[in-house]
Amino acid sequence: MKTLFEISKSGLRSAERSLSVTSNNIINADTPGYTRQRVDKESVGMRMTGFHAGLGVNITSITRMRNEMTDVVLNEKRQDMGFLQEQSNVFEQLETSMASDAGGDLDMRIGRVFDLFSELSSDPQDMSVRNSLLTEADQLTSKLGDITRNVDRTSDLVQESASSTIENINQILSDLDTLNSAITKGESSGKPDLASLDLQVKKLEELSGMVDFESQVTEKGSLELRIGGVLVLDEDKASSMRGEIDDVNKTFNVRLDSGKLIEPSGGKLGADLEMYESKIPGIKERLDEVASTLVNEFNTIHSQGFGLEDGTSRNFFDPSLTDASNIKVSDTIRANVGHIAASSIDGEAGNGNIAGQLSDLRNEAIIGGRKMVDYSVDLISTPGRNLSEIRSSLEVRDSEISMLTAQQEREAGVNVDEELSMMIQYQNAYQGAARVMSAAQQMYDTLIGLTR
Amino acid sequence: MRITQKILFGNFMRDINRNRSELATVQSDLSSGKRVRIPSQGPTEFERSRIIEENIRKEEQYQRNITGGLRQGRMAQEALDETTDRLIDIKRIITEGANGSADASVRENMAEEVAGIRDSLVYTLNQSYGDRYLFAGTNSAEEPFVYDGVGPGGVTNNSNDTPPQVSVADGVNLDISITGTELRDTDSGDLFEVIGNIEQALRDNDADALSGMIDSVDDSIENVTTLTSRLGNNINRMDYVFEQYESTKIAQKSDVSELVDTDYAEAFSEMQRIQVAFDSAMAVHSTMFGNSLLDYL
Repeated sequence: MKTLFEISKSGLRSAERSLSVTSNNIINADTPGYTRQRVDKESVGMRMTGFHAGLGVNITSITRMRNEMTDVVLNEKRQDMGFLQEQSNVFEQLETSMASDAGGDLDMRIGRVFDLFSELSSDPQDMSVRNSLLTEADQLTSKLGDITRNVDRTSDLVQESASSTIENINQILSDLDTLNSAITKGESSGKPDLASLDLQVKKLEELSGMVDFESQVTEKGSLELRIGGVLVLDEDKASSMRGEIDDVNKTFNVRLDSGKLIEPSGGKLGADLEMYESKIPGIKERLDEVASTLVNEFNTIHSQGFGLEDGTSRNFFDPSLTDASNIKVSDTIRANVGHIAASSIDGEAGNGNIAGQLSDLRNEAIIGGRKMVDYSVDLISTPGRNLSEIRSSLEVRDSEISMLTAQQEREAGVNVDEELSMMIQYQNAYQGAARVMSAAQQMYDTLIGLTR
Repeated sequence: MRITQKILFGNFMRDINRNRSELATVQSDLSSGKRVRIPSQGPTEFERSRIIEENIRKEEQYQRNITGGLRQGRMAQEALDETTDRLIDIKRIITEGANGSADASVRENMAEEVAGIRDSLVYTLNQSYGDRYLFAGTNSAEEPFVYDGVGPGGVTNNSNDTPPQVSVADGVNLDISITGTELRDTDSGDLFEVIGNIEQALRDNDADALSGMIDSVDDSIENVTTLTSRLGNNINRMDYVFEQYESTKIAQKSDVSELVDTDYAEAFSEMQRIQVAFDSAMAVHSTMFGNSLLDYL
């Protein structure tokens, strides 16, 4: 008889507990990283003489409904996504500084200089042609300078971005370390810390956008992380990393506080490092090659010719400045455009042979096996070409991630309608248990009434 | 399968964003008229179009060279026609002067006339275009003909024998004038010397010598007309090349247009398609999200 109270009490407790879990699910329906929870119950009973009697319900545990495998795959995709996204951001910046839809890009500037040499070869005595030639050559050199400065600026920004990403990673690693101790504590006491586990999911998701890592959970429930094969987080401690930057040689090393070097190759950090160490310097190298080729090829021919003023041979570009950042038309020519050498023979004002040879350079494969203008078109299209490749991979990644997210969401996400219907179910269960108690009460009352 | 609100909302946002970005692309394609404006929108098309544009730019420069060349060539041609006319005048004078009826004073007058013609020839052949003397060869900063009584026939030659050129195509240069040296070099010796001799014969009242000089004048006239027609050939060739550039330019510009310009029909139908998708996404979204058990509790 007394068991009736025990049964109804266990029913009330179970309904109450279930209701609180469901409520928590509804409230956290859109909390990032939250995993829906379920109450696991089993019926309690005991063997009596001759029969088996039920003694109510027992809550065994509260479970997180989450597929850890999906998380691992998802984070791998996110590392890739973070990598591609950062690369696409940087290439976008580079593209903006190298090519525009308004014209006046490097290819056109080079073409215009050739144009004016062609014009000069046909009209070597015209001072206005000479003046325009100087203007165009100045525009070309300042264009090269502008591009270089913009590319340098992008390189600086990438370096800053890498440094701040490292800060963020350190922060997350230390957060994960704190979570690790909470989780292992919960695990050892047999009461898993579900909130910390959810937070861990969220932190790992954040981390996966920033850097590539491998994760592993130990028997005690603590998380171990490795970046580039090097342990950065374990049960005991989280390492912190720092960047070692050599801006002259464009190297960026990531060193742990233990002194070990790590080589991140994915996520935002991996992308920043690759851009900073190889892609951006690669573009600068090609810009410098354009500048030095211009200086050498033009000077070689120009110095064989003669201007209008005297029999002295001169260079067209300042031969000591051969980088894209500093290329410049030589000062003597800037001071007097009459010194521009059009003629192959001293004193022949109407001779345009040298100017003709200079303009013919546009048809010769003098740089990287290509013509000057073709090469610069290729150069200014490089960021855009990379960008368009990355964008198509980004789309693929994006749809993969959204599929995986949906998969995980199916498992771990909260369906409010479902929870609401469960809420009603638990309410009913509670009412039922209460009714059992009230029935038991009446039975006792009847029994006690007999003795009056 | 469990479908949570988050999945629905996530899918909706993703589709809407994709629609919006597609719509933005079509919008800028239509409003700018260009499909490929920067390399990332079509690297291959961008590169090809820029390389064709470089070719167009180069050919337009050749066209400008030709325009300048034609102007100078035509001026030179006029000066040569003038020269031929003047030489014919001289021939007329010789024929009259060789006639027995002329006397010494008539011939003296004729000599003066010839001297005048020589002066006007010097003037005509010192024709310049801008700073450039057309008949000076490449030594065109100096007057090619100077009447100083020193050179042959009293006229010094400052011209050299390399004619001025314009470049009209890759590796093709055309002479836009003829040199003073060529002009003077007739089969009967130096042009001005021939004229000088005629003047001298007239002053000497030497009818016999005069009649022997008709051939020399003929040679001079022939020399000038030969050179004129050679120049004429070059002018025709420049005209022809110019026209050729005009027609290849049209072809090349349409190539560029095909590579980078917006196909309006396609863009508009694309816009319609996205619009429909966009509208349906919105409509289905507002219906879907109204469905909640909350309404029935």
